[in-house]
Amino acid sequence: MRRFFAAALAATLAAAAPAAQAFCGFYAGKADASLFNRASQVVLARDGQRTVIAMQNDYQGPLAEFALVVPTSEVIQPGQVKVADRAIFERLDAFSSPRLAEYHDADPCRFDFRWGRLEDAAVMMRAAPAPAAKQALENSMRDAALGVTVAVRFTLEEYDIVSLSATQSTGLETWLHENGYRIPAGAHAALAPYIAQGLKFFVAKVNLKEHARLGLASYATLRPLQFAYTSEKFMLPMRLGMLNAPPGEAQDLILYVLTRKGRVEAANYRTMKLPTGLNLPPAVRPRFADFYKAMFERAARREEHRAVFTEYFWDMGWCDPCAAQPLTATELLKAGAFWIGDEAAVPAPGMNRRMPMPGGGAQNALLTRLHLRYTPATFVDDLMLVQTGDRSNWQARYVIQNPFAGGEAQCQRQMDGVDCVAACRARVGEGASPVDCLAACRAAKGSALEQARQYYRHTLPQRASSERDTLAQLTGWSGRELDAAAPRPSAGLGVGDTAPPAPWWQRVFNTQ
Amino acid sequence: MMMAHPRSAFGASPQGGAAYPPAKPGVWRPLGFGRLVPDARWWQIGILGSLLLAGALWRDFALLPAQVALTFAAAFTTQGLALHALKRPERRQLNGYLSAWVSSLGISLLVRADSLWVHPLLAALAMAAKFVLRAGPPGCRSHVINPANGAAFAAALLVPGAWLSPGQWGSQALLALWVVSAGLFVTGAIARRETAAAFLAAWGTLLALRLLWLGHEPVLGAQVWLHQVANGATLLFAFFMITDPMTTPQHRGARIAYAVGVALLAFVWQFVLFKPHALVVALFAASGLVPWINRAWPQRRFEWAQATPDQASVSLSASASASASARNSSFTPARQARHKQPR
Repeated sequence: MRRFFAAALAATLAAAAPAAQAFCGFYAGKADASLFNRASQVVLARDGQRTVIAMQNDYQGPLAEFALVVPTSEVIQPGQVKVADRAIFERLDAFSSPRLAEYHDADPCRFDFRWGRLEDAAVMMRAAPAPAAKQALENSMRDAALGVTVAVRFTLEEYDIVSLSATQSTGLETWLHENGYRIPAGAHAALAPYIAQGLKFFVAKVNLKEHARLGLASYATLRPLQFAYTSEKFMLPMRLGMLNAPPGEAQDLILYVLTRKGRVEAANYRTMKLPTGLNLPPAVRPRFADFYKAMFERAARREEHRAVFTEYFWDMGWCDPCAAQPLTATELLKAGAFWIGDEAAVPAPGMNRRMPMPGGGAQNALLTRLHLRYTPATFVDDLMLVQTGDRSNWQARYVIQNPFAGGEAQCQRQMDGVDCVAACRARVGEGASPVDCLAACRAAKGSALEQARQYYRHTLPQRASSERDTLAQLTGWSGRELDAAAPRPSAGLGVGDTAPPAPWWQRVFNTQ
Repeated sequence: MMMAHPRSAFGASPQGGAAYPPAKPGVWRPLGFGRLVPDARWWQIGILGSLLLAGALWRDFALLPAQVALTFAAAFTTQGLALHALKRPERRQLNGYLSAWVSSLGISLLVRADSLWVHPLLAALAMAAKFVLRAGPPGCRSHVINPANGAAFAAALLVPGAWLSPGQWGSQALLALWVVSAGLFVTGAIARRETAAAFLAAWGTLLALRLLWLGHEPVLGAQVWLHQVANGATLLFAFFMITDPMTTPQHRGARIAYAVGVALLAFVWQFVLFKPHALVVALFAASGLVPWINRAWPQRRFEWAQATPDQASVSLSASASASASARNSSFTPARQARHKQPR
């Protein structure tokens, strides 16, 4: 059954992910463009004040119009940022998504040393801009006039990155425009609170030349950026990401938080758990993605888009049942869990497929997966997070119980095929009377038929009915839509059976 | 701090037999029997109970029925043991246990844990602390820590496997309305509306000033402000925790200043130091000052059962309070003398 389940759910996320999501930086572009931050995912690893954050989104507009602006507590130096591997998001998604598995490791053996190489690359980058000294001087004078101080500027693979501080929001907006960042008009109002808090800004755009040179054109989406910083604030600056969204339009954000002590929840919004452990009609299997989307949509609407939903919380050392293998120490490290390997020996290269230890002590990382669907009108404040002392594992999990593919007629045929006389002939030697044997044989046949009858006529329709109710309740589906995912109970009869629904008195009198 | 006779519960227990006829324990008073007035803790119990029920049913609190049951069991047992050990007259009366009831509801509303042992442990410690940690000038001696606040503080910062969910209520208008109206009623009954008002005014002002300083657009700024202030946890704190008459200063002016001070401290904790659970931490830290405040601004101590709205309103001034105590003969010179002798 779990196998089935796995297959069903594997379809889910693949289909569900693109439909959802938004971001904590912003993209911008033409006012009319449908450059929607359709899918954004954030991996946030935090212990103490040290934070590593990686952001991925489903930006699909022209590359030249992509801009990412993230407020940070400190200037992000070249070594503090890298282009992360999208596989990390896929792995975290696979491990934590509401499903049971089949989605096995997306090649965890792939070893990526880019993190280590960064230092050298950064030095080269810093050396590069030297020739245009005069231009640089002019630029810096203009920057000063706008109240913008560029702390560092470098190119990292396909991204042009600037870490800067600003003193006035309109100046920053102007600066961003003048420097080719396509940010939405009116962005200064959203930038102002961050400037007042003395935050710096991490700003990135795509370097088209590098992008082409690296041969990334084939990628459907931009590669995620990941950076490390220290901050007292455990929060996600979401408000900037809402700038180019219509006020009533909902955006989605999936946030993976890696911590050491306990589950993470929102401090300034309600954090809820989705319904879990429920039985669904088997016909939902091919439509699991639709189911999950509809259920989430309904839950989010019921909470008026003011709640944060927990989809998963588990110790990274193990899982049960596993949607995918837990992340290895190397993968966790790549996801930003910088403390991994501090206490245990760092695995040698090539040993990245350590077996997960039951009990999870080996990895010492806890994964909280939060799913937000919000609108600019409902999430007026940035998302503040808090780490709780909760260590009890939890997952959004749904169950499909497939009925046996048979029917009463089939049972009848099977029983007809049993030759009681022949069967009893073989048993004569055992001392029982042949008459008794025949009677017992017929009784057994009757019992088998009766059990089949009970199963096909009562158990299955009842179960189908309750599963259908669950489905209708969770998704709000009705009519034809519901029938497609959950055939009416009368149709739950076995293959080849066309019996009418049982009369109401049958259960009382137990007659046929 | 030393062991002294606990004449308070959550909360006070009545002052022995002098104030109330022992034959008619508190259970009848809320029902309006005789000329006795209801103990305001009955209202607290009703309202906190309704919130707990609403939270469990509609806000899907991460709380097990067994945790609630164990909280109550531990709190009542501790309270009973302490009352018996001290041979308090109310040990056989229902109103001797009202405070355990209120504290259990408060702890159930606030504390979350992934095991069963945290709730009873915190409830027992909180109730025990009420009898052990006592201080204050004669006539105004009381427990120092509000039990629910102490338990929440411990859950947030000290006990492994325990936590607080400040966002659990969300910021919904209907809930806010219920908490505010019920809170106004209860704080009115115990003459502590000015404390809630002072706290909310100070907290609201600080948040508004911060948002102004951050340069938010006016409309968005107002929305953010409302989101931060009309939060279920903040309102509950304002009406049901910082207004606890036993663990806050007795002098009205001092109490207002105290509420403002707690708001300031919480603001610094949350927005300057960026630490979580500011309100709980600030109140816990400030409660240590209350005995000194009561010494500096002496005032007759609050008694639960006298706090009818009409009496409370006159007892706000010192002279009226003196006449009230004369009327109730609950603070006679003889009693005062007893206060001075630690047991």
